[in-house]
Amino acid sequence: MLYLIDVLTLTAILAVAVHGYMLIKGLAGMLHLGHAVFYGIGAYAGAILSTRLLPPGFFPVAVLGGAVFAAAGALLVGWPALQARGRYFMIVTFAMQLIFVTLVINFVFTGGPDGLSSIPRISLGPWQPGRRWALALGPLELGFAQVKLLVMTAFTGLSFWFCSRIVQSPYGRLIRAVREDEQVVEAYGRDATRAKLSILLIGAGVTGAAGSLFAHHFNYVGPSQFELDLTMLLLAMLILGGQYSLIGATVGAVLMIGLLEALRFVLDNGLGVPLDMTAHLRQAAYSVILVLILAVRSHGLFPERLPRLARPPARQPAPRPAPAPTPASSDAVTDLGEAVLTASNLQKHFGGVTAVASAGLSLRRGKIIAIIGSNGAGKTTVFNILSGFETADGGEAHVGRTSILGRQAAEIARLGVARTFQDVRIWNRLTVIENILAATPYQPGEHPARLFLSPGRVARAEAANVADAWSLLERFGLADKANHPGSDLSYAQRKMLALGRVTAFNPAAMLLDEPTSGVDPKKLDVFLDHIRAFAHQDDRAVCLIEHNMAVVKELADWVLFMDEGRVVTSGTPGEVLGDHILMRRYLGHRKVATA
Amino acid sequence: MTLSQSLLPFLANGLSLGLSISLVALAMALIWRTVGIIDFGLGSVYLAVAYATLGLTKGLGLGLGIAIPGALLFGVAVSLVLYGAVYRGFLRRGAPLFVMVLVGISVFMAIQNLIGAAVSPQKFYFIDTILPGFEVAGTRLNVAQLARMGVSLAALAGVAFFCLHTGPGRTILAVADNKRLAQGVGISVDRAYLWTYGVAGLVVGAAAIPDVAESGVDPYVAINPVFLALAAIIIGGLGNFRSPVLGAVLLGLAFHLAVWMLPASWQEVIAYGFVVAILVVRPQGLFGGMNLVRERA
Amino acid sequence: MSLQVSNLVTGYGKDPILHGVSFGLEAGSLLAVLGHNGAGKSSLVRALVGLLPAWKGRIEINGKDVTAGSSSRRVSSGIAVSFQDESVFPTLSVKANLALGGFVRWRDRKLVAERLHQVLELFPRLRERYTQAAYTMSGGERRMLSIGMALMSDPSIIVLDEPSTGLSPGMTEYVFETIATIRTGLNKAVLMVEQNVKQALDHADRVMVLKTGQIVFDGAPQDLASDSTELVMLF
Repeated sequence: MLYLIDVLTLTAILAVAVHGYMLIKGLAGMLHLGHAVFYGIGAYAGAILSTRLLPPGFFPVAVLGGAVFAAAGALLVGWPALQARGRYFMIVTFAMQLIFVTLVINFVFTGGPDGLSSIPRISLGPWQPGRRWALALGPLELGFAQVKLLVMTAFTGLSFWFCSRIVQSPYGRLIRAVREDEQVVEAYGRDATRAKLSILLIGAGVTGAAGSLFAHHFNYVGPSQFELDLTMLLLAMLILGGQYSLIGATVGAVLMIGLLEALRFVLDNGLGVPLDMTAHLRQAAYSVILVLILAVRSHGLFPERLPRLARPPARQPAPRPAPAPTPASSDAVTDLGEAVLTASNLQKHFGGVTAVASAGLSLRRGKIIAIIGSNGAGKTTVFNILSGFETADGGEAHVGRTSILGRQAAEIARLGVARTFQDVRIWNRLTVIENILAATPYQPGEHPARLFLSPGRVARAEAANVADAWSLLERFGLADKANHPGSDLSYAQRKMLALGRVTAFNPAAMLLDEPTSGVDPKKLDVFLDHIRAFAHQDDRAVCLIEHNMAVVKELADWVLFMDEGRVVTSGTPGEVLGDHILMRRYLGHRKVATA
Repeated sequence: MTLSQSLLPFLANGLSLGLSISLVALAMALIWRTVGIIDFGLGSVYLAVAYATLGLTKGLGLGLGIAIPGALLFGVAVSLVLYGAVYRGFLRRGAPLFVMVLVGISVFMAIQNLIGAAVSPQKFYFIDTILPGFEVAGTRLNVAQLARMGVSLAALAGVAFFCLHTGPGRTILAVADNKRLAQGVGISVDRAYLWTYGVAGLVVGAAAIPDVAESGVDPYVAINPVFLALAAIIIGGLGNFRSPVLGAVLLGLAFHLAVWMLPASWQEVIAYGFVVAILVVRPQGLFGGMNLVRERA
Repeated sequence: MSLQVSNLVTGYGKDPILHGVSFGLEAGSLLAVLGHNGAGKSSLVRALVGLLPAWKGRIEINGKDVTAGSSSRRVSSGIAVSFQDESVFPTLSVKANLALGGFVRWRDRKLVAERLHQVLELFPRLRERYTQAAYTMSGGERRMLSIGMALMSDPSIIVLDEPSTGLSPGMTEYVFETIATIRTGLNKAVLMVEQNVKQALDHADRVMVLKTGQIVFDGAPQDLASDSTELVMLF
């Protein structure tokens, strides 16, 4: 019986560690092979605090200490590791896992190879129970072990609540967007690296707390407890239960321990296998289980549960969104009138090839400019330069009076420049309405601290944003798909969502890269109406790259024709498209009949 | 003792270690560049060859002359079976890199633990006699260590010859360099993968046998070589097949030079710190050459 | 007919990219395929070489049905490709690259030796760089190598994916002259995907326009140029 309580207690503790893993791997999509290290740092920190630094009765502080030190460890590893690409993060965390044990053995204050023993039991102020302590509740008598189990289970509940708050918050939504496509997140003004670092610290902290719980449960920590096989066990629990679901993470922990204990029972009692063999077979077992799950059902038992956001009850007429704000740092009047974004003499070379030789433009509120030209003329490269996705080799560009060349994409976006992508790039595993929300600017809930410190403000802002998002979806005809994942949409609906998303960001200037390409000509009018509304009703500066001359004639106030990296000519659509000399040059030496 | 006299033994040992690491690094690099996965499952092949040698010599009483080729062949077989029975299924369904890495680690750990369960985890030696040694460059190297250097050089040369001058070898180079184009010239990628796993298995076996001849066989002998191989790849880079080999030699030298300068217990930490520093400062490796690492998503 | 494609339907994922493409190509002719991004040009290239399995339809090379079967079987039937990017084996030498180009004919040493001689005649620069690693060469030289590799297996059909993209005007002329030699002098059937409308109309004797996975024009370049401006600009 005592053995069973012991197993359940350990399960509760490991479940907390798996919650932390879920935040890092499932929510944020970070490929992380060193989770036992965070657990170990927390365990050692808790042990050292309780044995050497804290007076008796300060168990909760030791748990917090475990969380803080594990988060610090994550910061140390994560900050340089996240600068590099995804798989390097995986290798760094793997290296960290393999080195951790060696490190711990070499330090004196961690007790070296012998570890730390005689760690105090759980306590709270004056309540410092000994091993034989018991609580009499009427007919029932609860021993220390049972109370400890209740305490640990309470911690599991607390961790579940905490992680749920994170997963279901705007912050959780941001993290998931980073998981899906972090470049697009940057295009909407958010710093993806900082987001990843923050979730890594939170996940590590939760895990470190679990480690400290373990130290106070087992009363001994040693280097051999935090090796690769523990990481693999935690990973197996996470993947078995479902890495994209917090319930899955919890169930996975319980299920895996259940399976392993059943195996131990069968081996010990059924087959009479000696004890040292059993341990090896258990470890072999969860490795095999992991491979089997990955082969059969790699998203585990519980799939990701996407939020269903309700339509706000009072059906107001869809309000026109507020006109786009003027970029904060521009003066009211510039030489160029109400020019929002100007650029001149932009240059970009790739190796020996000149993509952009000299390009410039001037975007004004309420006006639509179209850039046309054959593929390879440099149009998308200009957009990439203006939105911060490429660096320029020369030239200037300004939003109002602020120079934007050399700035990060997220910074430029925050100055009021938003863009769409040629290959659409919506966040597939966010719902349609979440795609809108993740682009909406004012979200206090995207900061984890504010999430817990000012929940009222977060809830109010979220409610307002949700209401606006619904209106936006109705404006774009996507309201009935609001709670569907983005991947459910057809190609044309995705292009429509991209337009909705870019306007949800409320930018002063919009760069639309082939917004109508691949759309059925019969559905084109709706797109044209929306783009025209961006300029005329929302008073934004709109610039589009287009191949469809019919669209250009319909929408554009001004046309820029690019060829071989240069703006060759510009003018009204009638002027540029009716220019026969230009057309001949464009089409080659063959005779061109007068069109 | 002059500086060079006291330094030479460590250089010699460092070179010997480096060459041994370079074989497992080469095997891992072959699979990484060609198939596109980081295969820690190679540790299983290492263990298989080590225990096969043990089994053939101690268990069946065969001489080394038969046991060694037998064990090597067994290693190739294990490598091919792991590819065919486990990895290929995942690859065909387009499993991402992380899943493949997990599968590799899981296979390795499962086999390690099954061996630990089946055979006792104590250390066994298949060479009981004290090995004769020679004075080389101021240090005493025994036959096993010399054999390790010789075998490593021979294996490296063999793999180089195979890849540069034989048909199947050239398909490995082609797929490693540019998989799409390899298919475009009519190479069967699946067959190239089989050759890759076969060669990798042979090379890992060639590294394992001299290693465990000296240090003994137990279920945990493969972890260190696998990690050092990964470290060598990180340090050297993966633009071609020479870089990881150079990285391995550098790592071996760094290891033993660390011993020369620092107390023994810090040796591993410093060497691994070197690895992490490279990852942060120059992730493409020191001898990158061409920055063309084929990878799955 | 060297190449005959009938009702080809294929794609990635669940939606098809090519919706029933049909055309033929004879020896000695140069067909330029135009269309803007996403129209299906690169999918067509991959489908022809066997990198993208056909969902429906037929592909015949020299009268033989090659629709089913792996890419190595397809290449053996007499088709070769030169990709637009990542078009060579970078760490291998020019010599090794050319040898790999003739992979499917490796057993026939005499043929391979003859082809090698021919390719080096066509591209003397490759002879100069024979032992150099491919990644050390300039973009134009790599393009030459890539086209040379495509000739090594003595194919009936050569597929060129944007042969002039990213090249200087001088290099572009040289490449197109070479393509003309391949087509007339060697009597190959050449299919060329081109982004640059000007180049395509100047050099091809037949032009095909792809739009959202279907052929919207298939005929002589003059006819395309004198067609309505709308169609011409819709690429």
